[in-house]
Amino acid sequence: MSAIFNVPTVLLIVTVLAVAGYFLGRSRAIAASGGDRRSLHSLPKQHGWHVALATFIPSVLLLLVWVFLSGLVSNIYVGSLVSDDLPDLRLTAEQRETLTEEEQAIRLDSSRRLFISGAQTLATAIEGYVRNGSATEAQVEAWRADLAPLRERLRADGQVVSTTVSQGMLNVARDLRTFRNRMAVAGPLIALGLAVGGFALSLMAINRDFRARISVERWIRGFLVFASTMAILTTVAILASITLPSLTFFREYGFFNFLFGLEWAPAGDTVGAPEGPNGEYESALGFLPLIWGTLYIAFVALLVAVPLGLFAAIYLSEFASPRVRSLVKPALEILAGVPTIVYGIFALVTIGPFLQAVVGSTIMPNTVSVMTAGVVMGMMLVPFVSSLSDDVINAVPQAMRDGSLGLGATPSETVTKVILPAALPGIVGAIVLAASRAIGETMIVVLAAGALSNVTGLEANPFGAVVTVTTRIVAVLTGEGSGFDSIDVLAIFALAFTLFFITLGLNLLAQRIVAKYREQYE
Amino acid sequence: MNDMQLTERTVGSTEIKISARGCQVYYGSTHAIKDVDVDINDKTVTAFIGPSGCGKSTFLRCLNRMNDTIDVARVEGDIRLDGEDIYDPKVDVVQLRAKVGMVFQKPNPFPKSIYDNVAYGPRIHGLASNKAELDGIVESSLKRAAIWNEVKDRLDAPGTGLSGGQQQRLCIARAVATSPEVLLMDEPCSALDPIATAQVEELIDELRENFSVVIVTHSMQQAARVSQKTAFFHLGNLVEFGDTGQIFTNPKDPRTESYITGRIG
Repeated sequence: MSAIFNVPTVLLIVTVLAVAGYFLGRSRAIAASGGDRRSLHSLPKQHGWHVALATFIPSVLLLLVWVFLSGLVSNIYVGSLVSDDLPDLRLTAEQRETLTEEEQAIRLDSSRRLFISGAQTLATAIEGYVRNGSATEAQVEAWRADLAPLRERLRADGQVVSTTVSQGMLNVARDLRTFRNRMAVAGPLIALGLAVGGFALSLMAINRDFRARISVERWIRGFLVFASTMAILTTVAILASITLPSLTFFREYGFFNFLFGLEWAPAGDTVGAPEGPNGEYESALGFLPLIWGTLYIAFVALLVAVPLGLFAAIYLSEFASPRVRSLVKPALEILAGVPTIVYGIFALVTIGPFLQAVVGSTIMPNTVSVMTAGVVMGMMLVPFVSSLSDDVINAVPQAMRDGSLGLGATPSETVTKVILPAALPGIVGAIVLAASRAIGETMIVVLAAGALSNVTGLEANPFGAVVTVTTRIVAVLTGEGSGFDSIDVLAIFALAFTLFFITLGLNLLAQRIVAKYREQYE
Repeated sequence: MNDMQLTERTVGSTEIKISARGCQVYYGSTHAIKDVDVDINDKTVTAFIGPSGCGKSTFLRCLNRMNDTIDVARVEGDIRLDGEDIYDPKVDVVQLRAKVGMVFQKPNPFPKSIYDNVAYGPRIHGLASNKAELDGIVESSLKRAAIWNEVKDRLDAPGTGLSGGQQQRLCIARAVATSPEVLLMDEPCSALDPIATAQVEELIDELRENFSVVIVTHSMQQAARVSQKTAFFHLGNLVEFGDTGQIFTNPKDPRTESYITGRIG
């Protein structure tokens, strides 16, 4: 029974129904016209579309919303299952005596979170276990507190289980699993009902005067609105998914400890259970060394990209003959399409060894360094800067050039004294956008900046290896071992969160500068 | 005021400043100017009139080689400034344009302060050796362009913030500041209202004392009001060239007569 009502099957049924609806609607409209098609308000084709869209859109929309929201709803549900006086959540007598009330609240809250995420993982594991055919429903109901063997059994089946499993957690996980299964069946069922209902109602509505054309227009407009909001909603979803872990991290580790910490040395502490003396975390998770590496490389990259890109843009827009321009501009734009991993390989195998050979291995012990990554990233950004600058330079009215040339200025005087000052805000906007890309760039720095997992202080040597925000995120999230109950992994979310706001801020700044520039000639 | 009044027709000087012989201009394969011969007198206002697309602006732009900036344009023939061929390879186009200034159809002040707009030419040509001298040039240019009283208190304000008429007079001040010998004006009043137009026309008449002025205009009334010599262009040909009074009262060519009486255009 439940096998039919999964999302792909229902989607298939709805699609078939919609296609059938199109043809049925069309032929019904032709029949309703009684031979004279001009007596219909809308074309038969539009009647057909109306049936198809009325069948398809509401049910598919419902499915999408259901898929997105069911996770959220089951989170709320599991929260309501866990009460504060569960034995797993109680603090020890010692903790109640030694800790302040505020600290107790923090402990309680984080152990509650841990418990909930453990229960969620367990529910998923049990579901996977049953799906694999390793146990029947009845067997699962019969499971009792022999928890350690249970964990081993689930692990052996290839399921992910967190380290601590208790009877309370198993009970919650069972309830959650039942709830999830009901949700998973209910959604497709309702969607199927909506599709059949839409199909039947819209077919019945067809007659000579039915305004199918207007309905179809409305459906289409609604769909376009939906499409345009999806991208924004996705951004919101991304932000939401990194915000919660980040806030947990900030609360646990301390916002200012993170932001102004000079050391990055993960030690694998569990969230809510600091292992160091004095109840502090052994992991040192300071942001400064990472953002320093990021900004240092971005600075070197801009030092390369801005002059080269700007001069290329000036040459192309002011001096190049149409022939040269028609060759060079597309060539530069092709460069912009080279995948950054390819630039990374180039940095690693060519630029790095070259730089090392030039400056010597006392100054540059490794081939990976700020300069290696920065120079190559700068080359990557050249087409980006030149294409944006070219646009703003071309936007300077021809009248400015004529005015200057007509006064007897040379072409280069015209560029430096009239065109560049006029285009400056736009060029600054282009540079800020390039900076934002340099800060968020990942693949080149992963390969060419260095891959230390511990750093202390700020590396000043431009030929030394550094660690950047993005390389740490990649290393931790693709690495083996640590689960999401580790403070080091939570710190990664805080990194992503901070990076998001830095680049967001830069983009907003660039947008404002560019907008201000636009006003000038309109 | 009678629009067609033809008073003050005394030509300031009979000395020839610019002479063009057999001038041809091609835009790609289009023959835009066909075999034009013109003599521009010193200290005289010469007007080029004619219907749109007749080539009068194109010909004007030959006189300071602004057509060089258009890739497809090609100029042939002989154009001499003070007897020197301006299309000779030895001629420095930068020096030529310093001697032959230009004011454009649309006011095009640079996005800089009023002061910097006027000081632009003197600065690039090194006309002033110190700040006081530059201040003097800026002041006298703005006075000559009859805009000094309006802007003397806000020389640091951006030139783009002025009204259209003020912007055009600023552009004239900017052109005058390099002390050119000839001033080319390409429909300088077409973007201006009647009051600003009257101010600019008055200014053109004053400029005649020091410069040779060549003005392209769509308005025959304007040509009659400000010029001493008039050239009528039609389809790339110079149809008739003579004293303004003669052109407007007693045209020799039937096409000129048709145009000034409004039958073609």
